[in-house]
Amino acid sequence: MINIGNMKTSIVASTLIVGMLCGTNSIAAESLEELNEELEKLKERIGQLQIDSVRHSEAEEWRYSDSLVHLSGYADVGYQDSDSEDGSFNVGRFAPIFHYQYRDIVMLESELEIEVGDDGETEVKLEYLSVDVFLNDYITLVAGKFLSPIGQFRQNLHPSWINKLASAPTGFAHDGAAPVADVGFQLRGGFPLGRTRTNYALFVSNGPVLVAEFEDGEFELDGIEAEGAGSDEDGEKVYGGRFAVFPMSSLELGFSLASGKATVSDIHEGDSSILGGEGARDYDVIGADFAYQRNNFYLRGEYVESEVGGTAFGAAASEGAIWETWYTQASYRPGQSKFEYVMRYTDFDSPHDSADQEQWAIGLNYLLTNSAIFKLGYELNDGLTDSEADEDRLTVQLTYGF
Amino acid sequence: MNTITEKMRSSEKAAVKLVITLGFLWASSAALAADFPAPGSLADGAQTWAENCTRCHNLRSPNELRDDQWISSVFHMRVRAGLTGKETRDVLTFIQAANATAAQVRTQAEARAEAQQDEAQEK
Repeated sequence: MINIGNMKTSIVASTLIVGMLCGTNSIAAESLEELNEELEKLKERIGQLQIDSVRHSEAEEWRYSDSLVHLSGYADVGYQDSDSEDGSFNVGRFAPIFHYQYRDIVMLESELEIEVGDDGETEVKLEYLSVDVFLNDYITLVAGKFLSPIGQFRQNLHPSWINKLASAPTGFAHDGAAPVADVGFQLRGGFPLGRTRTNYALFVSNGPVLVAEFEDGEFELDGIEAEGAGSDEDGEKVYGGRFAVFPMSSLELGFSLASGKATVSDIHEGDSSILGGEGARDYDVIGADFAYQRNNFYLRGEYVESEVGGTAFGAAASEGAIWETWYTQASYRPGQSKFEYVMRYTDFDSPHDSADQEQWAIGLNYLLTNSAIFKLGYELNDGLTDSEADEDRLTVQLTYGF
Repeated sequence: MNTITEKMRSSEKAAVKLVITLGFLWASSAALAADFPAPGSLADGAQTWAENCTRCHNLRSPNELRDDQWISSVFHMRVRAGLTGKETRDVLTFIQAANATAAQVRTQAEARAEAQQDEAQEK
């Protein structure tokens, strides 16, 4: 016998169970789909992390290398307008600085100076190339061609992004009283003297090359090429150095000295082959410098005198001569302003009246960043009438230190 | 079910962000673990940096160079400015620490921006 009542109950129960199961499956399918999506996203993330990890490992190889390679430097472009010449745009210079360092033991450093001349020709100079050996905490051996440690301008301030005016003070560029570079070696560093900081540099080098000229029926000294001669024609070395002390943290006082022999080995606009048996002349340099800072006000100054003695020997025998220059510069940047105001006074004296110059220079700088600077300057020059040294100049410069 | 999935999703995202953030932090601090030069004093470095660098030039932000680039740059300045070995290590320690701090701030800011972007997309 079939129990109809029980059958109905079973059908209803079965329907309910199937219905419930169908409903549960629908929910489960939805969750599964979402989980699959999440899983795919996670896989993508993990894949990306694996790629990042490989890249990171490759980067770490270089990060943990014993050798470091570093490129820095500076460049500048500008515009210049003087009394007698029409205004011209110019590419001042591109000066890449290469550093190759092995741990904290030795560093090779070199600066090139690439310039475009008035005629469009490109000139490349080796500003310096030295191997620096860090002997201990207080002494570094610097060998090769190095910036002259006499004074501060050449060794610390000449890069255009550091120099607060577009030009170097007269006598501190490649033209005058202050030596530019030397070839030899030096020991330099710093040490505490009680609670006072000091720094020093001692060097021996080939010394400069002297240039003579023939004028008014006799030879006289034309100039000192103290730009790091690659050979020492007279075999006489120059010894010198600089010592600086900080009586207070905001003030540096420096004293420089160099002495040795130098010989005429070139004749300006003349035939150098006539030279022979030239006597080695005394060559002495003295210098003093200071730098003071208080908040955003900076005051600095520098004096350099180069003296070359006379000689009675050789084809270009002549009397001695003295080149002397000094400048003082004040600059101020109000608070965190982007503007900086600069004023500099320079007085340069040489054996040639046409080169002597007294200069007031004023400048307004705008700091795009701390090492990218737009400079506007004006030089009021006083020299021999109608000479180039007497012409006032407007200078505009955009410089970038990197 | 949806609530559980959302919680899972949010936890996963948080975990992934944590992993990425830790990775960046580790990467940014890795140069500090370089074995040369020896670590110096951060406080003395800050003082030496503030008192000496501006004597000649405008201060360069620690963010301008990577930690390894700062090593060569500061050793270059050791020669130029007549710094002692200790002063060099101190300045380097300070700059690399400042650089790492800046990197952390950047990473945190990036993580925050990413989280905000995700939230906006979900809405």
